[in-house]
Amino acid sequence: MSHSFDCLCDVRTELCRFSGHKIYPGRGIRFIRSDSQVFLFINSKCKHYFHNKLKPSKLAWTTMYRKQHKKDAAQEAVKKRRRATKKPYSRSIVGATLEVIQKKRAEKPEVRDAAREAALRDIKERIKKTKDEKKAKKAEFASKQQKIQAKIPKAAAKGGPKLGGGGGKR
Amino acid sequence: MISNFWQHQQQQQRTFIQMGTRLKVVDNSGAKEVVCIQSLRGKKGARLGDIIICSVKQGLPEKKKGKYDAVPIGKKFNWKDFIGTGKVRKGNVVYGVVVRAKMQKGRVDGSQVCFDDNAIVILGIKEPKKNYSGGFYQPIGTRVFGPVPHELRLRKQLKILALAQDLV
Repeated sequence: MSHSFDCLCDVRTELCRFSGHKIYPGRGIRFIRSDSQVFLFINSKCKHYFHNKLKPSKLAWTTMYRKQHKKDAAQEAVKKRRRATKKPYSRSIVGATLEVIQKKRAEKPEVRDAAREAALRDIKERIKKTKDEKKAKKAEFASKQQKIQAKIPKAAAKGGPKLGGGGGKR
Repeated sequence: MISNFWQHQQQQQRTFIQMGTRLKVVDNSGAKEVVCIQSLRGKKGARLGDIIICSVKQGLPEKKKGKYDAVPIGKKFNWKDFIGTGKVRKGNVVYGVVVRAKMQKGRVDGSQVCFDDNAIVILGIKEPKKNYSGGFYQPIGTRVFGPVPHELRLRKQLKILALAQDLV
């Protein structure tokens, strides 16, 4: 709208509420309605249209109309495409420095699978070990009990036999 | 549509606030509508932020009977006489500052501002035979309704700015 000002670096342009054009400082009319809503108009043409209750979406020169009828679609599509490519997040986080993250990212899926299987196997072995240990303990304990029971008639007078490795106060 | 547009163009665009202009009162001083008697600034009339003298046309309903009725204006002014009805009543001549004007007012950044209606805040009751001394009266109401422009800061109407709901 203001061709002569294109060379200036503007401080802050606002948008016309009706037409959607840029309003450079020093231009335009600001209309404040009783409900405290502010309307900015770039010129009295827009202001008069607004007061006469014309709809910007029906006037072909306004941005609202153009958006509705998708007139600038090509440009918008290009803009959107440029933003679509997302880069993988490459910053170190607490708990994993950048190198660690990158190494993990660079691992091949086979390597990962192998690692996973190894880990699972480890866990299984560990569980098996604990189970075996428990079994062994139980067996020991059972055998101990038998021995103690054999001894009871001998050592009944000596304090209470400590069963189960010291049963604590009950 | 087109005929409407041209009609609007032909109407007067510059609408100062002058003798006979009706204004809305946007504080709780008791008056509702006021008619301008004189604008204290400007030969053509008052604009946004100016002080005017006006006569109250509509106010809060008055009490039915009792000694609080109809204090003649020439008599010595007594706030007690207005308990319960509002500080200002119909027929009083008051000072007011224009807080909203339909006519555009230029701002320092070059833009123009205009509102939807003409509204004032009542500053004080005019005592007869005494002229506006030029000081900065503060409003007699305690609440201000609706949006209020920054221009009042220059006019030193700081209390109105403090009471305002929306500062525009």
